Amino acid sequence: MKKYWRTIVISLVIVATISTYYIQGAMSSKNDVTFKFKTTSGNKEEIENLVLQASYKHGDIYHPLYISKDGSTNPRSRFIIEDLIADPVPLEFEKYIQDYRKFMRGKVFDPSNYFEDEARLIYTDFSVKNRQVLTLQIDILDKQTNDSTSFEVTTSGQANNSWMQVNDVYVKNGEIKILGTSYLYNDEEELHVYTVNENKKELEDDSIIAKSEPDMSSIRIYNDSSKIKNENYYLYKVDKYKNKSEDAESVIISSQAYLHNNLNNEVEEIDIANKLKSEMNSMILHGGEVFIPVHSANGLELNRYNIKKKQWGEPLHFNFPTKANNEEELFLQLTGGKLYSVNRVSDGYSLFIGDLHTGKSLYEGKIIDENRENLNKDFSLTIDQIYSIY
Amino acid sequence: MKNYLKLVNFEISRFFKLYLILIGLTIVCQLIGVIRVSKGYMDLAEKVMDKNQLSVSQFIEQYGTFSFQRFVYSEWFLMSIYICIAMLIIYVFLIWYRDWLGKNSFIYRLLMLPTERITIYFAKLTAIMLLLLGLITLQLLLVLIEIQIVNSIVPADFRTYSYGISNIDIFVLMYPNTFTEFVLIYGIGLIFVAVLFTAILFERSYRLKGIFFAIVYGVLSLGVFFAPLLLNGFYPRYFYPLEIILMGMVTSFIVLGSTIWIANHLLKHKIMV
Repeated sequence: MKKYWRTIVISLVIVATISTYYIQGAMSSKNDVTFKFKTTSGNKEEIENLVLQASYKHGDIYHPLYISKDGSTNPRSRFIIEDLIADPVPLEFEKYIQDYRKFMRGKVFDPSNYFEDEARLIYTDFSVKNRQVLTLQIDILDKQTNDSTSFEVTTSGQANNSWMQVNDVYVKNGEIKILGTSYLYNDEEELHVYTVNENKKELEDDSIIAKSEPDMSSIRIYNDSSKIKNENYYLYKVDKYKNKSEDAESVIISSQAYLHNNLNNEVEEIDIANKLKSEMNSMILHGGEVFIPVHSANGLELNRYNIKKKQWGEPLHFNFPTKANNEEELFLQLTGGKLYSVNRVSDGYSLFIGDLHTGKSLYEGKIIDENRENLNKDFSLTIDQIYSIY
Repeated sequence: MKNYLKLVNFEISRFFKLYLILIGLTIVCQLIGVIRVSKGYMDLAEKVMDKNQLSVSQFIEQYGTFSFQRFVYSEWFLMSIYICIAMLIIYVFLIWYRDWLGKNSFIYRLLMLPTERITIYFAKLTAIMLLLLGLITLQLLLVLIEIQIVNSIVPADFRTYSYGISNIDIFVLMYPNTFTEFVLIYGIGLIFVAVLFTAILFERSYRLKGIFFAIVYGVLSLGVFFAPLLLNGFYPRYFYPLEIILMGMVTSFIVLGSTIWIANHLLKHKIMV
């Protein structure tokens, strides 16, 4: 036995240290920060199916989290090797992969590329054939039978495109409309609406609804990129610059918001009052209305434009505690006729849910650490997305 | 089994002195490094704050807080790691070639032992893995001491909050979150060493021609091992991550099984004593 002392010592040190490290790691993970909701007022059912995709930052370390009424979970409590192979699957796509495993193979997990209704799930993406021809790939899944069909349509004159991106898919009456941005080699940007006839499997129309010139103008789309269902309008803004150069800060000389109506293919301008022009970057398109939120000391003023009536209505006022920290942006999301807001307050984060029709508060609460009621001051919580999982 | 353990101990004993030197070098290098890097930061802080009349928060705004990563990415830390890796890679070859090329061609005595020849292969493989895991363990213990040293030199106000080893990206692969992953990652390491061993045996069996066989064999093994990842590269997102991991496990077993089978065959029939 004495002869083997070297091997025995090395083995013992390895086993003792590594096992202590993993046992301790397993024990301490139970004391990790875990968040939950604490209701202050309103209807608790509002948070029943809510999942907040967030990231918790302490020091220079980020921890991705999902927070729901049952507490918080770490979506990355999976193999590191998995992370090396592929990006994590967004929460909303986990269900699609579970239900339509075969159909979802090889697809980009970006809601912008999808359309869904009761019967079908449609996916579209651009692909380049022989480095010359740009095609639109369209995959249609019949949710009832689980059968899928695929076809491709060729778009015209794409040799000068450096990159194409699908921003939204709209499907109605046998037509598939794809809002796509093409980035050209000369730094120009074009916003296209491609109309594909589903039955004939051919491209019916390709119209450029906006175009930007390098250093002179830019385009930004305001449709909810997480929405898979039909949106009747595309909301976008074109900014024009005063001779933007690399060294000087860009000076915007005009900003114009446009709405493309998918039902009649018409584009209309939206008149925005001067006092709201500076807030245009936070425009939100939701339920036939364009909203422009303006933050105030005690809450939020939500200005609303009715697209059908082509007029601005009385703004909604929501009162909730606002941020106590200038570095953190207030999180705002409009989903299902409701306003969701998460923001920093003096002792943590508040969660507010309001009704977009009545302007009334539906739920008010806080996001608290389960283990420590009062969180350390030097942490921050960033909300990326709020999901309603039914 | 007894022969195997004896051989493992024999291999460890042969490298032990050099191993102790390596351990000593790592400890000295890293301890001097951690003191110098953290003291360097504090000296800078004192100088800058004194010269420009800055408060702690103003200094931090301009120069950032001291995070343990500053030391981890310093030459003191990285050099010691590189030296250990280089030594182990050299020893993967040395563990075989010194038996052949040493003074008394020791391999002849080893191969004449009344035991299966593959036992020698397993013993050498185990020795390399033990030496590697030993260094991994040393690093784990050293980091804990180093964090204490940093904490004693750099006041809390100047430090970035750190959750420990699992949050320093360089350590994520060395000490993965779960023990299962630890076994998986070092299992992959074991496969690579085994493939190298078999390639060495090819060279020893067929000499000059053997180098060619060894290269072909090595490339084939790597090809099979990385096949699931290549497949994922050709058909992006077609396979889900868990499927690729499962395929990877299957190819790993194929590579490991075949490498041991080939090594056994070469040792038994091709290496003549």
